[in-house]
Amino acid sequence: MNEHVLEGRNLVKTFGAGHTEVRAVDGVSLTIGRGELVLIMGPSGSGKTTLVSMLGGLLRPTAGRVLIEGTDITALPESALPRIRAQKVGFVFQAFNLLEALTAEENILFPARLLQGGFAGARKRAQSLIERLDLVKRREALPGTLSGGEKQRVAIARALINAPPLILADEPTGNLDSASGQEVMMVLHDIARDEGRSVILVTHDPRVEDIADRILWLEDGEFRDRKAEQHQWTRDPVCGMRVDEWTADLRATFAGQSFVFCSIRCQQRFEADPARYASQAPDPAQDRGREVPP
Amino acid sequence: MWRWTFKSVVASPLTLAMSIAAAACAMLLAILFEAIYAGEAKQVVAYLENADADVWVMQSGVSNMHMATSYLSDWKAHEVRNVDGVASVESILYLNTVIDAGGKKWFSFVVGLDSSSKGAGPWSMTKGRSMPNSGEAIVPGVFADMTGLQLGDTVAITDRKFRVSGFSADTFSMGNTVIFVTKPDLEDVMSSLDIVSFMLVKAKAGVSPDVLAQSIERKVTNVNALPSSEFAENDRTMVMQMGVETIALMTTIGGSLAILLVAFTVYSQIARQQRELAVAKALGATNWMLFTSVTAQATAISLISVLVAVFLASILVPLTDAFVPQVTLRVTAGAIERIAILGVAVALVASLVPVRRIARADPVTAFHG
Repeated sequence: MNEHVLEGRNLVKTFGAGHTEVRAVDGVSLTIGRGELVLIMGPSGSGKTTLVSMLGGLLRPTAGRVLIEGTDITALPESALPRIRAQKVGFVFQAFNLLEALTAEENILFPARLLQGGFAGARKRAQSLIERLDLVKRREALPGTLSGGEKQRVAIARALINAPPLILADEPTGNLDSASGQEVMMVLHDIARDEGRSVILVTHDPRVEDIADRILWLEDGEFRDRKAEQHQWTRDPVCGMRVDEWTADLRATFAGQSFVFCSIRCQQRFEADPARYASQAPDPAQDRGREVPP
Repeated sequence: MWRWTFKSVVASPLTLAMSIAAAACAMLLAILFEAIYAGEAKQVVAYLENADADVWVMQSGVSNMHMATSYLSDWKAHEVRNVDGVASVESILYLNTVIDAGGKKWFSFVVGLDSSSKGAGPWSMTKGRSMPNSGEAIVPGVFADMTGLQLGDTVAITDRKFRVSGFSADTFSMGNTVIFVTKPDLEDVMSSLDIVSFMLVKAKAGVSPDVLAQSIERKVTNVNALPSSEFAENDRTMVMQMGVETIALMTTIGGSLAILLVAFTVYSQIARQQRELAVAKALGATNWMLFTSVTAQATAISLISVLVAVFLASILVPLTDAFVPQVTLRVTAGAIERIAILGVAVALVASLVPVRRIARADPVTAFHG
């Protein structure tokens, strides 16, 4: 058994050509072991999603190879990739991407139905996942009636239904409040630690660093060492959660002051009543200068 | 996959109902245009098809009735009667002209009947007598409804006035009407004596109309003899080339609009799911799975739309017959079949546009929230 669940070798992805060519990923190599939880962090536009898309067989690299459990998926024809995705990779998206017409349970079972002969036992696995992710009372609910945290738990269960060795999660907490985000992070952590699945997490959420086995910093399409001063901590004015001002995507300005947010939900709340939250905002200076956790 | 396909179709009942309603209305439009075309095509030759004749005899060189002039000496009827295989001969005088009822004018076939006529007069009546007397005319009931004519009122044919003595059924079309008067009256209108326009020939039992027509042409000089079916077809072709061309054009335009509407409706319905199709592909659905899912949805929507359209047509056609009798609608099984096949085909093609885009697109689009 290959203990390297995932290998990426000299991965390059370019978009456009000539003087408009952009090298989104530029010669990235990485190896992910079984049961590892690896964070890929980096500023916006650094190529994180492009890299994860190539690792999951969603996007063909311009150069380089991706091996999942020893199978070079870059050498496979396009027609073979859907089966690889369904069997070997579980995806968790920032926007949940549940199928709106299906109930929570049907969404969870959907990838199992895509595999010929793969449905046997899926219902039992779904039952187990539903119980584990505390979705028992919501199994018949349609996505439109689920909370953000419930949606993401359904999405995680869907990613696990075919028992893939690799889970790829792109900003899984990006649309969640802090409590739901924390919960989702712990579920992903347990998946790696208890089930031996490899989890690659693209995130801006600095709280996850504490539970990660490794942190890879992607910048300008390449892995780089992080500088010690890379974090500029401040507080989300709505929920009070610690947010890295340097990497945060969600920003707003009110009364000449700049604010960053942990989630869209907090940003929306702030924008609905900025005066209220601006007045309650803690002094950002108290968090600044804090050292980056190792 | 099928569960998802089915649930995607019915997930938004209002949207689905609107899609089906739009597609059904488009198909109904196509059915009605076809029905108008088919109805008119039938109605313009209704007289020829209902007159009791196996073979029509006319002046040499003439091969149809609509807008045609045919003169034969009436003694030729005796020659025709003597041809082997002829059971009976009935002559009519015929004039293309305009009938005027209180200022309302309509292009008409005026048929002059012998008093002994059995098979050349009106075949169905709504009111009054079926055989005109001298100075009388039998006009279509639909024309009477349009103009407010009552029995006993007067209509003008050229410079002659006629008293209306009966209303015939099934003798009106948008292209013409059939008016019946006595032969002497029409001779008077035409200032012609001892001539006939057409002879309606009945064949003896077992004699083929084709063979009989050929025999008549051999035995009687300067006449053209045609089996009824061929004569009616010639007339239909002639009429279609004239006034009914407009209806054909309307049918084509209406059909094209219907096709566009069906295509747009199905395209919109499928395009709405484009993002979910991309997600399904990212999760491991093959292009073939997406293709079958989308085509199944398109087929279901278009077939339901056909059924709704046929149902609506079954209500609208009798209503049209009752309230707009001057328009003859004829819905045929062939037309329904054609529209259904075309509707499904168009829906399938329209549905493939979004799925083709998905098939070509990288499923990575699912990552972009």
